[in-house]
Amino acid sequence: MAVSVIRTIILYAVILTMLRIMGKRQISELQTSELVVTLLISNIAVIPMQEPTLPLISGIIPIMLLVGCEVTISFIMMKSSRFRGLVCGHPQVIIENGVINQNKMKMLRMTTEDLTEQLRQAGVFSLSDVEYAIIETNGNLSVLKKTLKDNVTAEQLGIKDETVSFEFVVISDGELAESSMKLCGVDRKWIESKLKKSSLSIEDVFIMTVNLEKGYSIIKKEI
Amino acid sequence: MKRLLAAIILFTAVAGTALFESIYVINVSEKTENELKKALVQYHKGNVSQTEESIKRATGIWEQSSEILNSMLIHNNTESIDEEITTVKNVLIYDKDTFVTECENTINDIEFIKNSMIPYIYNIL
Repeated sequence: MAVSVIRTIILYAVILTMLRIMGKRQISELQTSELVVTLLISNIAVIPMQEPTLPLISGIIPIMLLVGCEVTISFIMMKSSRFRGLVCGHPQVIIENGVINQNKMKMLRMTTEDLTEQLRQAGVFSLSDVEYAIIETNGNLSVLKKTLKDNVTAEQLGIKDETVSFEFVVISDGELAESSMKLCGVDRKWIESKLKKSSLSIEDVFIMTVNLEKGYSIIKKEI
Repeated sequence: MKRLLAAIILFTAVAGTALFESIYVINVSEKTENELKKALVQYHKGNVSQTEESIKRATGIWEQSSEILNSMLIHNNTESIDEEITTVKNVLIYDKDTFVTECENTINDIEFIKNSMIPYIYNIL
């Protein structure tokens, strides 16, 4: 049992490292090759976990190789759109100028139920609201609504441009976030001086956010 | 670029490990096999003490390498070879009639492990 425990921990660390090398993506945003590699990694990792007589390296080496291949393929796809088209395919326009392209839907083996489901998930509840709909290479549907059916923007209402400042989390659950502090140009002394006004220490803070104009907000820990 | 560098490092590590594994296992297997073959030759010549020495050397080679072999091969395989060599050693003392058969079987099993390391098409498929 001890062997299985240690192997599991080692493989977990290896998988985390490999996924870190592969990069950040949500499951729903993975390209086909990335999804295949992710699934393969999980299946391969299980084998030496469950079978102590198999060498650990028989799981680690294939995982490393798969990640290496995936990163290389991603790099080549970045450099060559032709290669990318070969591996990932191309986005397909299935609704153009409000008209459904039935041939494309047939080619994609997409039913009307699939289409309406994806439209609903994109916040569209009527086909007549759609100007363009594109199936992306990862299978997601991107929708451009007709102008009259779309949400109103500040520009359309004639609202003057007001700069929206991004907020950075500088304290998270009682710990300073050094990288965020650098981004918004504050240091520990500045933070402590602001906290002092509320008679708080860093450890007492649940979240503290700071924007580029040095505006800040503090949420104290309750527990 | 960092990720590409990481990929290159991964490929190098994989290739290096695969190469090391193949070379090491083939090397150890060949040495052990040669000692067992020497043992057979000596046995046919009637030199029991030389036969024992060869088997002892074969045992030593395999046992010394067993930790590294276990990190690369299925543990059952390395342990079974270990047991077979021990059996060969014992039958030389207690059951000479089966010595040749046991020794040849062990040589064949070691040969199998050695060949499994070489990327022949039938191994890959």
